[in-house]
Amino acid sequence: MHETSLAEKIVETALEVARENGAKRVSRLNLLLGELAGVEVETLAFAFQVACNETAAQGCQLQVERVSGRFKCWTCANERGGDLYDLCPSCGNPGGDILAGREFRIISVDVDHDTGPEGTSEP
Amino acid sequence: MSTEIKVEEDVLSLNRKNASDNRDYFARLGVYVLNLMSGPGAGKTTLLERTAEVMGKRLRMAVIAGDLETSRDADRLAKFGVPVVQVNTKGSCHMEAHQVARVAKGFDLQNLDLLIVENVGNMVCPAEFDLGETDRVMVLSCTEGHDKPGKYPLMFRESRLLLLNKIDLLPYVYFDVNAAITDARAVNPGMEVIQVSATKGDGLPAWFDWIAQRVKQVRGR
Repeated sequence: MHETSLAEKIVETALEVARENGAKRVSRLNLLLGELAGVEVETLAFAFQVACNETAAQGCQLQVERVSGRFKCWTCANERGGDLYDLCPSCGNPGGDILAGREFRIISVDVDHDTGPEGTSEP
Repeated sequence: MSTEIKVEEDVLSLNRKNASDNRDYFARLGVYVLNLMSGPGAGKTTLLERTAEVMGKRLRMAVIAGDLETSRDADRLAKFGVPVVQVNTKGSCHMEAHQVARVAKGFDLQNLDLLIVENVGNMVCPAEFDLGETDRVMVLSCTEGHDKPGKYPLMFRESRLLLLNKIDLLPYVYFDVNAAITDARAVNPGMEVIQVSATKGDGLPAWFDWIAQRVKQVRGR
């Protein structure tokens, strides 16, 4: 539900990176998104396109790499996948540290130094 | 010609930094800060009314009430003589640390023991946004169903205390108290539980004592 404000934050960062690097356009944004991050990817993608409109990131492609949850059992330290809520397959106890799955990180952005297919490149 | 620029930036890092600043600031001033979370309609505001009524006399307390729109919660709480500020998140489903920082400055924090932040009613998003609170407290009412801890584990995982509210309605609704507690403790074994009815008053003294004890522990540090 907070995908709109998150999308705005992401686009803001991408535009900042483009500015800092003297680029004209942001063409692609590569995002790492854990399955436990509480972010719905389709909603984020839609909000992202909206947030890009009328900016230097208009039409920017959003590339999302998902990260599955990984947990370390509190009882026997066994590492497992699955859901947070699952019992440990090794000792049968609930609960564990979250090792992976909460990631929500901008990995990189692809920027163009010209203004795109119809644009004119600067000398 | 396109160039890839490495960013490696955590999208929520700014909120985490703001939350960490808040936490340091509150700790320096010795203010105990509670982040009260629940789904909509679990009874947070009624619980806060009772809390303000009683704890407002025992401790120096203030409340930040978060909601999408309206100042109805703040209006309800202001009657009990505790300072209340309403934050309208305007469509955002959770509160963020910078909003708490901005509003908290308006209170006389030097002379405050307890600050309660009533988060926006939502069981998903607030779990991802640290506000710089000392403790998180989760309110679950028995009209919502005992399956909620299993369905929204992150929220329950992050809370120190579970307030099981509306227990006066237990005879009329299908709610398995033990199942709810078992599921909550499956993701958070140390979670404390207090059963209350904010409207009828059951269990409220235990909740008030819990707050008083935590305030004492935090201020004694």
